[in-house]
Amino acid sequence: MDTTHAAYESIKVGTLLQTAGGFVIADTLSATPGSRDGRVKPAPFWYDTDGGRHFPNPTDGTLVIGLPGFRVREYGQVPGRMGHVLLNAVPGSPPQGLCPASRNAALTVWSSGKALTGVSCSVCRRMAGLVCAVRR
Amino acid sequence: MTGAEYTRVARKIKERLDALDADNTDGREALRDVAVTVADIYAGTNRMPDTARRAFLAYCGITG
Repeated sequence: MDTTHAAYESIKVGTLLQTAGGFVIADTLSATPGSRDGRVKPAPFWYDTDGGRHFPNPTDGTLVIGLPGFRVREYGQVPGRMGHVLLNAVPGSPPQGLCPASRNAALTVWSSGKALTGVSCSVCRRMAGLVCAVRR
Repeated sequence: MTGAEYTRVARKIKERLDALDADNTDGREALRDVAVTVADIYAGTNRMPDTARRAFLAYCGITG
């Protein structure tokens, strides 16, 4: 799970919010009421699905969000084969996530007709010819 | 359990996955089954079940 800072306006319902304790899911955008005389302005925050409040960083207005993606450890060598193993892909369906080399979600998949599925990344040619070794 | 508590479970699963050899597909599949089961439980208790499920699996290092 990678993380990045995102402006609270760009966060949508369902975004993973990264906290010190772990991830939570953004649920509802809300704001504190502020004061009637205007001296205390409303402060926006996100409720998560557990009911917790998440205020953006006061200096830059951002929250830390989580980015699901492949990890380098998800790739390994197939014994007796050339190429790498994509251990977390579902045969016959495109892997969802980010390419570890390019951090770009541009992967193409084809079915080999067996439990194994060939995967190649159209962005980083280095990872072309991956083989999925997970059967589901 | 809260999302943060599920995170701790996911981290533990991820640690175990990371500790496995790359060619240990049986062990990896067994851990994936555990992760999917817990993800389903989490999804069943969350207002956004699909997101919760995906998030939990992603935290385990399992995507797709």
